[in-house]
Amino acid sequence: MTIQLSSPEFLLPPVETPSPESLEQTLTRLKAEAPTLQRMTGMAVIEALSRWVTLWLQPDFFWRRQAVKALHELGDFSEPVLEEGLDELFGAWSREAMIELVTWELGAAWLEEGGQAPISLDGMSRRHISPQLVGAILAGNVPPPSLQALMAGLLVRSPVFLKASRRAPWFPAILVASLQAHVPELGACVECGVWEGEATQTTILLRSAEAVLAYGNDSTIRQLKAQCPLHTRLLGHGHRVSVAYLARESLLDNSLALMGQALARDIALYDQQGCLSPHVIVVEESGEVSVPALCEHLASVAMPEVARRWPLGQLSLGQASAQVQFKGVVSFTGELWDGEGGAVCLTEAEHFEPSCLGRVVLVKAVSGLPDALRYLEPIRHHLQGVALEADEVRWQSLALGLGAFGASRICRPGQLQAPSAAWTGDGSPVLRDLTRLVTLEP
Amino acid sequence: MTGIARRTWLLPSMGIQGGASIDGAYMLELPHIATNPDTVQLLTEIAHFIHSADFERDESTRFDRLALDVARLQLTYNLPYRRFAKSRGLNPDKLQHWRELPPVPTDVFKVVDLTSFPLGQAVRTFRTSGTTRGQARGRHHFATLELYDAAILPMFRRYLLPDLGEDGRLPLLSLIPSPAELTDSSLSHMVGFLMPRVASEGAGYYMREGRLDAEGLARTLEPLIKDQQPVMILGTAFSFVYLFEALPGWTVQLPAGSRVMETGGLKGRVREISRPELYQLISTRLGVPEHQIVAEYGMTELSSQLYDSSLRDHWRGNGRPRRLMAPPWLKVEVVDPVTLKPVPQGSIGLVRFFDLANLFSVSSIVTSDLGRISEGGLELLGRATEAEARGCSLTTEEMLELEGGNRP
Repeated sequence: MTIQLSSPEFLLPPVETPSPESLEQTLTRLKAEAPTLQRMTGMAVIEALSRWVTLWLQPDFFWRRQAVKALHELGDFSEPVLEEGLDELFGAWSREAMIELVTWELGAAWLEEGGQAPISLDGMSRRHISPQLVGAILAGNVPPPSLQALMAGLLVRSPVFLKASRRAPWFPAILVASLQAHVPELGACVECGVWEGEATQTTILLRSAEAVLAYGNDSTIRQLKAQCPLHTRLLGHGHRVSVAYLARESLLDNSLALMGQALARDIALYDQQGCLSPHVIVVEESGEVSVPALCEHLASVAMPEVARRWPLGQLSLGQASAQVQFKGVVSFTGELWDGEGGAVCLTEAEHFEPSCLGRVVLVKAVSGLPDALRYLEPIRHHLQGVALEADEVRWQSLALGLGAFGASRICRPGQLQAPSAAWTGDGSPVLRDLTRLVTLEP
Repeated sequence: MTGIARRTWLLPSMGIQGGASIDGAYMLELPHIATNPDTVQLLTEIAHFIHSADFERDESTRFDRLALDVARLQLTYNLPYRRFAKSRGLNPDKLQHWRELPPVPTDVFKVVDLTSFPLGQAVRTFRTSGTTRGQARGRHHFATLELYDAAILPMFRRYLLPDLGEDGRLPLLSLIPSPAELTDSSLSHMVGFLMPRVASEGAGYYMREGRLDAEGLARTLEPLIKDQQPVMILGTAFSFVYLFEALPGWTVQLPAGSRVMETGGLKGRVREISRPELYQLISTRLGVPEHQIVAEYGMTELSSQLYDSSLRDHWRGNGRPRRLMAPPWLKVEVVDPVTLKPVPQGSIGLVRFFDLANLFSVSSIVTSDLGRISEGGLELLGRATEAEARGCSLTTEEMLELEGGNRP
C-alpha cells in the first residue's frame, strides 16, 4: 500500500508497505551493504553526514520544504514550529558534535579506522563490532526520534531500516529519500517502510537486525521485547514526561520576562507532544515573584508572545475535547489562566498528573526539592528532561538531585527542546549499545 | 408549609401512582432547596412541563423560559458552579439566556460535588461505573428524585412502547442489575422505576451479584415463546455479548412484537464489536428485527434519557436512519470543541446538553461524545479520544496504566 497526501504539489517519496518477502529482500540487500559501509572510517561517515546535515539546515532545501509541508498537512504542527524544530534538531548534529559523540562513546580510534576499530591497547584490546543492520521502530509524529535513530545507526557504520509510524510516516521517508539523493554512499544503506505494528514484517525486522531501536508507549515496548529474538538487542525508548523546576531565587521581577519566554518556548515547540515537553512547572514558593503571578505572566504575556511566533497546530477533536475536560476540572480544583497562547493551571494535587497537552501546562508550588520529588514520585521511572532554573550555587545540587531521582537530561529553561547529539532518552548511550564488544586477549 | 402544599399539588399532575416513592414523612423532611418556595415553584413548573410537554410541537419558548430560571437558580445556589461561571466571564446578574451558561465538562463530576444544596441533604447519589483502572467515579447528587423519575416514563413509552398505548405492559427481562443491588446506578434506578409501571408478569432481573444468569433467562423465555407472548429484554451492550458467549449456539425466535433496549458502550469489555455488529448479533440470536432494537443514551450526569427512533419510526412507517431523540425538556446541541459554540447543522462536534431535570445540580453539560445533528435527531459518533498518542510524551491514558499513577 502506498500512502499519499492530498495536496498535488508534494513530491513525496512513496512510503511503501513491503510484503514479508520484499522486506526480507530489502533487509538482505541492506546487510550486503554493511561491509562497504564498514570499510569507511568513522570520520568519513561523519563528513558525509555533516554535508547532509548542512543541507537540511538551509531553509530552502527541497527535502526540508517537503518535510515541513507534509508534517504541517498532517495537521499536528504549524509551519513555524516545524521550522524551529528542524533547526534545533539538525543543528545538534554538527560535525564537531558527531566527532565528540563518537570519541566519547566509541573511542578516538573509531574516527580514524575502518573495520573493527580498537578502543584500547593495553596488552589486550577491546573492539566495537558494528552491527550488520540496525532497525528502528518509530512511533508518533515528532521528528527527533527518526533522525536520532538514523544518525546513531550510520555513526556505528551500520545499514539502517526505519519502520515509520503508520499515522505519520513522512519524516523518516523524507530523511531516507534525501540521504539517497544527496549522499549516495550512505543512501544505499538506508531504507524506510511502514506497516501495522503487529504485522509479520515486525517479526522479520526483529529477527534480521542485530540491534533495534524501538519507540512507543510502554505496552508497545513490552510487546516488542516479548517478540524479540534473544540474539537481537532491543533498545526501547518508551513515552516519557518532562518538567520544569524553578528555584525560588530565580523568581525575580527583573528576569521574569526572559524566564517566561524560555518556559513558553519549551511548551510551544511540538505543542507539548515531545518527551522533552514540560507537563508541569514545579515552583519553589517564597520567591520574589509569587506563584500566581508567574502563572498570570505565562498565560497573559509569555505564552501569547511565543504563540505569535510559533502558532499552535490544529488540535484534533480528541485533543480539543481532552482540553475541555481538563480545563474544566482544573477550574474547579485549582486555578486556571486560559490565554491566547495556551493555558496555565495552578494545581493543588499532591501527586503528579499529566497535562492534556496542546500547550496546557500545570504549575505546582512546592516548599523545596524533597517536596517536589514527592509530587513527582508517580513518574519517577518516566521522567525525561528537567528545565532547571536556579542560581549557580544551587543549580548543580538540584540537578544532581533530580538526576538521581530519575531525570536523564537537565538543562536551563528554553533549552528543553534542543538536546545535544550526545543525549538520548532514558539515560542510555547513543551509540555504544548498538555495537557489540569483542575483547582480544593475545 | 407553602412548599409542601405545592408539592402536594404536584403529585396528581405528574400522574405518580399512590406515592410510590414519596410519602408524607418524606415530604416533611424535604431538604431546604426543595422546600424553598421559589425553588419549589420552579420544580413544580418543570415537572408540569415534563408531564405536559407536546412532543410534536416546538416547545422552545417554554423551555427557554424555564431554562433561564434554572440557570439563575444554579448560579445562585450552586456555589462551585457560580465560581466556575464567573471565571469564564459570566456575570450572573446579567444573564439573559440559558445558552450563556458555560457548560460543565462531565469529568468535573469526578472531582467536585456539584449541588445547589448541602451534600448532607442528598436523598440519592448516582455514580458512574468508573471502568478504567485508577479513574475516579463521577457522582451526581439529588435533593429529590421527582424530576428524575418524572422524566423516565414519557420517553420510555414513546420510543419503546409506542404501539402499546398509554397502559401497555410487557414482561421486562433485565440484564441490568436491580436498584436493590446497585443502589448508586442511575441505570438500575431507571429500570427499577419502570418495573412496576411497565412490566407485566414474567419480568425479572437476570444480572445478579455481578453474574449473568443466562440459563435462567433462557428458561424464562421458553414458556413466553410458547405462548407467543412478546417480551422486552433490557441490557447494556456488553451484557448482550456476555449472554451470547455464555450460551454458545443458543438461538431463539422471540414472539412478534418483542423488543430490545440496549444501552452503554462496548469499549474494553470482553471484546470490542461495533454497534451494527452487535445489533446484527442480537437480531440473529434473539430473532428480533433490528428495527425493534432501541438504543438508550443516558448518563449519570443527566436526569433525562435519549432514545433512538428506530422502533417508533418503523411503527409510524418512517424509514429514516436511526437517530437519538431528546425530550422537550432536554436541549441537545453539538458544539465546537474550542469555542463551545454550536456548530452548523450537520457538522461534527462535542455533544452538549441542557437538562431541565438537573435542577439542583448543573443543567449545562458538555460531554466527550462526538455527535452530529441530522434528520431531527442526534447521530452519535463515538468518544472524542485520541486513537493513539501523537508524539512521544506520556499521555493521561498511559499514566492511568502506570502503577502508582494518581488521578482524581
